[in-house]
Amino acid sequence: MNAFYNFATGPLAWAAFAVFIGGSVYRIWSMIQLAKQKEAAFISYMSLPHALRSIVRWLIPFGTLGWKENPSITLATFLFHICLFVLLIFTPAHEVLWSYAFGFTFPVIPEVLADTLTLVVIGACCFFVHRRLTNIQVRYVTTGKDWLALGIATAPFITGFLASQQFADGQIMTLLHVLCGEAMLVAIPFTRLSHALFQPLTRAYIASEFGAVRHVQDW
Amino acid sequence: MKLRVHGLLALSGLLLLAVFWLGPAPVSAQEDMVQLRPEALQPATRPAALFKHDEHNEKAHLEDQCIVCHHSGADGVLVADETSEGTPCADCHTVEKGKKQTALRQAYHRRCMNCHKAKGRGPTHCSGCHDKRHP
Repeated sequence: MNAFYNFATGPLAWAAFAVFIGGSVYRIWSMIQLAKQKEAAFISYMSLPHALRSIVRWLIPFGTLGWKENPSITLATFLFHICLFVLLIFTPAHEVLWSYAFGFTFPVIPEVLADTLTLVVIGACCFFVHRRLTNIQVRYVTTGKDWLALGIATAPFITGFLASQQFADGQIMTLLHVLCGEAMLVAIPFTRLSHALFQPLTRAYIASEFGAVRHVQDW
Repeated sequence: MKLRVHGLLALSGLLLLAVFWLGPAPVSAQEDMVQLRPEALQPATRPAALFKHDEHNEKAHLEDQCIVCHHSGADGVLVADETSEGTPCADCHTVEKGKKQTALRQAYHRRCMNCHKAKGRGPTHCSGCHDKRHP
């Protein structure tokens, strides 16, 4: 068990980061190639100021008509993503690993806050599941790929919470947490989680057409 | 009868006092060590790391290799063959990282985890040492 844990936190972690970075670069590069091939005319209309304006606007909770339309999904989406990034970086145990491996330290949030935010994320994931099951329009467009992405995104938080509570002997949950985190890294370029890479491109595409061509706002 | 009761009470009182006087000495010697709880790192986020000095070293066959943990050195260079038993880690390793000095918490983590990894024995996950069941 110790040997497998050391493998998961050592070579496997490096491999997961390599696939995540390499895969992400490849997916973005191939998407740009595809755009050049299929939307060559459009590339000339790409406008960085309009793109940035739209990206910033859509990052503000309730800052757009789209976000105002469905307050519950807006709230769940923002809570999920904000907590995800806060926990990823500022969880005390994560900072210890940075310090152990690379020797640099930074401020962290208290453990009790990390546990609370983890429960908030799990709650948001429950909301996403409930929505996919009960909202007819959403259920109609939901496929296995959506469930896979949701499952991969939820697993690190459930296992992370149980690891932090030292569930069972602690090691098995910590190991599962590490493996789920690595699965998420590997899945980002190749599943629906790729919206993390493509969201800025999607917004840039729409914002350029709306802003530079039609001269209207895209929010 | 009354005298006998008083006598018994006095005797048990004396016994209790004796137990407290002759009882375990304050925990300070290495052989009595059960946890790593450096004052410099208080207040701690996690329970102090479990570390039974003698039991650990017997299991790890380190009885005559004090230098593995109790090393000496300065400016990031280890001095071979010079041990530092009796000097607490915190006397050299400060909480904040020095220019050529490993920070105290990192020194503990690296010393323990790197050895556990190299030997393939001993815990390397958080609760393996910082056990909430033994705060």
